[in-house]
Amino acid sequence: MAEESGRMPFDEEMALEDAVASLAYTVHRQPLNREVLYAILRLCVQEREVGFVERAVLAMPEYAQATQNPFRLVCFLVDHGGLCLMQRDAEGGVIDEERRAQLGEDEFDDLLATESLVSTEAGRRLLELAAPQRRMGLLLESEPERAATYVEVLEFIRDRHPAYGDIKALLAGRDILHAYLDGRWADIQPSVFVDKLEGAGMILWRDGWELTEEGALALQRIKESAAA
Amino acid sequence: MESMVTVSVGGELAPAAETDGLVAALHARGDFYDLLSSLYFRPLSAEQVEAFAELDLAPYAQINDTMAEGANHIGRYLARRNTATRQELAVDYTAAFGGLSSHEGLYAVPVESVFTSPEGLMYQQSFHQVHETFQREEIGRAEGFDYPDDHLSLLFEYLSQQSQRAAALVQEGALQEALRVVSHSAVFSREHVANWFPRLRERAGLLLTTRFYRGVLALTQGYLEFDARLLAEAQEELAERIGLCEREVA
Repeated sequence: MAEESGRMPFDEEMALEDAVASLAYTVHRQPLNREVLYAILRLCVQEREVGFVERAVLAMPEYAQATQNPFRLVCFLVDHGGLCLMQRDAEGGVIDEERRAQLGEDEFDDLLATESLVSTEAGRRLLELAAPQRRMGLLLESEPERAATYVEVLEFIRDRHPAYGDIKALLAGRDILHAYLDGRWADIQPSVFVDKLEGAGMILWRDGWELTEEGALALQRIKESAAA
Repeated sequence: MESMVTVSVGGELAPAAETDGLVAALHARGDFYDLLSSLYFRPLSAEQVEAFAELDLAPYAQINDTMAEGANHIGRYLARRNTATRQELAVDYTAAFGGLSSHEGLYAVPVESVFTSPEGLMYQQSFHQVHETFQREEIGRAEGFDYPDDHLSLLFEYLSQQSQRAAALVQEGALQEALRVVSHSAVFSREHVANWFPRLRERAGLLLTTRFYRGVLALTQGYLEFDARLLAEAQEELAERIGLCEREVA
C-alpha cells in the first residue's frame, strides 16, 4: 500500500528489513511499554485521529504498566518509523514538510484541521513478526523441554489470577527449575517462565497475572491440538 | 475610573460602594498578579492546565499588543493540548525557569539578583532590598518555603497582596494609607520587576520551546507596561479624592 507523504522522519530509503529491525529493537527495549506499543500499531493499521488513539490507549489493559503517557508513546513510534503522522487541512489535503516550511506559526495552526496516525510498512511488518501466536510458537519450538510447564502455568493463571508468589509455589522443587547452561547445571528462577510468557504477549499483570486475549486463544489451540 | 462616594464629616470618605471602579481595578490587578505568581512558581499541574484552557484571555488581549501576542500563543497552544501537554510544559518550565538549561552559560532562573547583579548570582543586593521591604511591610513566608525573596513568583504575590490591601483600604475610606500602598506598589514594581523582566523574557525565550511559556512571558511583559499606567491613574484618582475630602472638610 503506497503511503501518502505524511510526516516520516525515518529515512524512507532504508531497506524495509533494516527499518523493521531498528523498530523492533527500540520497541523490545521497553518491556513495560512493549505490549501497548504493539497495540497502538495494531490500532493504527487503519488511519486514526490522534485524539482517538490517545483515548483508546488509556482504556487498553496493556497501558496499565506503561511508563509514558499515550501521546509520548505515539511520538516514540513516529520517531522510530512505526507510525506515520498525517497532518491535514480542512479539505483533507496533506500538509507535508515542504508546505509547512512556507507557513508562519499562526498560518500553519490555522491551516491544520486534523492530525491522524497510520502504521507504516515497517510497523505492519513488525506486527506480523511479533504477533503473539507467532511469539508463543517460537517460544515452544525453542524450549520444547519447558512446553508442558508453560501450558501448566498458563492454565494456573487462567484459573487463579495469581500473584508471582503463587506461581513460585506452584513450581517449587521441580526438576524444570534446573537447566544445563554453558556446560553446567544451574538453577533458574520461576520468574523466567513468567517473563517469557509475558514477553510472548500471553499474560499481563493487572492486580495479579491474567491471560491476554491472545494468551487465552493460544492456550485453547494448544489444548485442542493436544486432544486431537 | 468611575466612582460613587459619599463624604463624611471626619475628613475621610465613607466606604466606597461595591461598584467603585478603582476598587474593582485594584481587585482585578491583585487577581492577575496572583495568576502570574502561580505561572512562575512551579510547573503546572494537570488541573491547572485545564483551568488555563478554560480561561478567557480575550479581555486581556485587548489591553495592548504585547498582551495580545501572549494571549494568542497561550490560546493556540492549549487548543491543541493532548495527554503529553502537562509533561511538555513541566519540561519546558524546568529547563528554563528551573535552571536546568542555559544559553552560552546564562540561566533564566526568574530571580532578580541573577539579572541585576554583576556576576549573575542569587542572594545579591536585590534580594536584601526585597527582604527588607517584606520585613518592613510585615510580610511573612510559609514554613519550609525556600525560594529567595526576590524570586519573581514572590514578587508577583507581593504585588497581588498589596493590591488587595489597597482595595480594602479604599473600601474602608482610608484613602491616605491606600495612596501610600499604591505609590509603594508603583515604586516596587518599577525597581524590582519591570527593571529586569525584559531581560528575563529575552533570555528565557532562547531556552523555552513551547508557545505557552513564550505567551506567558509576553502576557507578563504587556501587563507590566499596562500596570505602570494603571497605578499612575490610581494615584491620581486617590489624590483627587483626598483633595476633595479635604476641601469638603475645610
